[in-house]
Amino acid sequence: MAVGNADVPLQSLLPAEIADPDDFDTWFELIRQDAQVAVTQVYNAVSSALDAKTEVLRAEEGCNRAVWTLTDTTGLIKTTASVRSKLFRELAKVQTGTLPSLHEVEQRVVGFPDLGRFRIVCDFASDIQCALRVLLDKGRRVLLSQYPLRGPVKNYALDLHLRRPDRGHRAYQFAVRVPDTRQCSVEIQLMSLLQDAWDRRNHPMYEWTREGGRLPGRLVLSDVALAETLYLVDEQAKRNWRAFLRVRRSSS
Amino acid sequence: MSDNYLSYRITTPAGPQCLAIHLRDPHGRPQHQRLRALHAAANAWARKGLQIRSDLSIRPPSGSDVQELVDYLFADGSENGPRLQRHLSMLLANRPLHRYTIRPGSPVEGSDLVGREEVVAALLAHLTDKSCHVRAPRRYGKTCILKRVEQELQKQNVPCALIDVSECSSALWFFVAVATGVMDRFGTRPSIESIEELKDWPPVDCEPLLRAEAERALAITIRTNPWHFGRRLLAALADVHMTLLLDEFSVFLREVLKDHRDEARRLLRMLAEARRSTRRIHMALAGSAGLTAYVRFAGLEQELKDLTPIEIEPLSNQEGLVLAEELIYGGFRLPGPGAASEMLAVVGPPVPYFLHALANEICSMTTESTPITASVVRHAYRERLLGSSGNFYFRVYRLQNQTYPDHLRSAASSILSMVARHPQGVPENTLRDLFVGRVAESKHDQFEELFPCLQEDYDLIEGPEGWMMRCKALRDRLALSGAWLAEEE
Repeated sequence: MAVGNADVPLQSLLPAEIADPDDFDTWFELIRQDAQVAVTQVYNAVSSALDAKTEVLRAEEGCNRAVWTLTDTTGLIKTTASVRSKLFRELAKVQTGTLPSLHEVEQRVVGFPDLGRFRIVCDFASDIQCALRVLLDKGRRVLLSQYPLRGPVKNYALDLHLRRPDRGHRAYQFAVRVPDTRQCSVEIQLMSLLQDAWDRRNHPMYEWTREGGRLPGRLVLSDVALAETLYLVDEQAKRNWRAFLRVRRSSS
Repeated sequence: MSDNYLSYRITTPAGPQCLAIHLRDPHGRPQHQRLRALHAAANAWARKGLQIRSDLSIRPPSGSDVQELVDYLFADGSENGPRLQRHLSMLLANRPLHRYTIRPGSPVEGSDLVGREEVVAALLAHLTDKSCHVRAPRRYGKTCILKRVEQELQKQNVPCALIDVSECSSALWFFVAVATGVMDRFGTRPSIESIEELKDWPPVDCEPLLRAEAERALAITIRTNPWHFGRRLLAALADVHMTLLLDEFSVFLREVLKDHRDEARRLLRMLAEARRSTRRIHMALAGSAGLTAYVRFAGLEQELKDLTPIEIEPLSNQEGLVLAEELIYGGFRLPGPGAASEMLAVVGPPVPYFLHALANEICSMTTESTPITASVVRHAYRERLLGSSGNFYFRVYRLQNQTYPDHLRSAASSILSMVARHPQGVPENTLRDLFVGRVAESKHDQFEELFPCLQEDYDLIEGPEGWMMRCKALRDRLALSGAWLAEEE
């Protein structure tokens, strides 16, 4: 997707060293590599913790289900095009007449909470809560005692203020900082299988609207209704699953 | 995160290329450490002015060349950055990633051929207006170099044919082999179709049986006067500025000299004329044994003197290290960080044949899970390559395979054994004295004939302290048993 517009191209907002897209790519590659290291560290730590909990849950339930799957969205690292697009939006908002320094641009990019990101896709809505308990401390400030959270856990499932009723999947998400990687951030999203499916199908529409496209109100309402419906389906599925476990326990 | 892929995308003139590394780690090391090491290697490679783009994903990017992480690890679990860099260079050159095949004794082709660019270039330059003799001991890679030269000439649209003449037992069959070899090259056919005997030659893509029948029919047709056919064939080839690459020429000479000495001389004279006339054929002659022996002992100097010797030497150490390491990976083993350098240490100046042979023995005595350490390499060299199981590799160096007169074999064996036992070198006078003690007095002057042959056939070079055998593997084997060298099978 094109970045910037005819009036304010991104190049005009960047320091000369990285104004050219090729120069930007080369400069960003080193940040990108640090982001890969960061996301790998967090991904592995989360994967190990959840694997251990999976064994416990399977034993408790007597079922060999997946419980959760770690996956990417459109890649584990934000694409260069996406970083440029986001940078443009941010720099356009704060234009002061002077160009930012290379260091300032780097700080801004490294500070993107979703520079590296992955998703924990859970069988049931209840598994999302379970994962949050496994991964975060009680105050929800540190991930696995190693990685400080950047801000609170965002509850896009129930927090109306965050949710903006006309947009998005119903998920939980938070970002952590990873030391020794320029303090790169890694975002973790937790959502159900159904919300993940909705998001994957819906993502092109989301990207389009983020770049300024406008969807007809009827389509927006219809689509958000789908996400809401899936949320209700998830809630019912959770109840059904618990009922099944109770029935099986009592019958044995 | 075992199923994730780290990918490197590079832009080449032919379009983007992508290498994806499946990050499945048998050593269970923290993956972020792996990433740092691989990135460091990739960045060092890209520092040469190349652009590289990395990515981390759960699936390999479409169209990428997928490798396992273990392909970039040493046996001790440390990362092999130079191998990653070699693979990136292959992609940059728009070549598929290549796993080397261990094949001691059979000609290596394509990407398996390492480090012969200089000698191939020298041959190509030489063959533009001269002829040459590819000079090297057995198993130094003459055939594979000729094959590469043929490919390069074909790329340049130079009419050429690589012909194996080892099975020709007479001038007649030599001409049949040349005609067949040339007719198999489509580009040269129209120019020699005018030769009456070749008018009904089957098409290039015909059944092998049909071609064999055509060869037989040609032999019958020309048997009364093969020279008449040969003269017209060579003239037709000269008309198109043909380059003939004649492999196993010395085997042919050995056979034909046995029973048809005059015929051999006449043929060589005819070939020499074809090389020396104004409309000439360029030739590169190579064979299992050096031509020096024929010049010295069969009196063929006049017929062969115009051939410039082009030497094939061992690889450079750097090329040898790469080949040694790649052969271990090619054998589905993981080398330790010092394995390749140990292979060079034991084999000496890297002759590809002996690196292949050693890699073959290493793989024979280990399983895929055995780390190939320096001590494994030493064991494979001492106990297997130099042991009885390794005799196979050295059989071609026995004196009975050389064209030396029988009365000189014992002296040759003594000279080689002495040189082998003195790696620092033996003065020429000492070798001459040894020779004199082993042959009849009337033959004393033949040292001057024999010694150049030994230089060519056993890669003897002159060092500060005298003559020495450059190839350490051969030297070590001959030093173990000089008698073995002269034994009949």
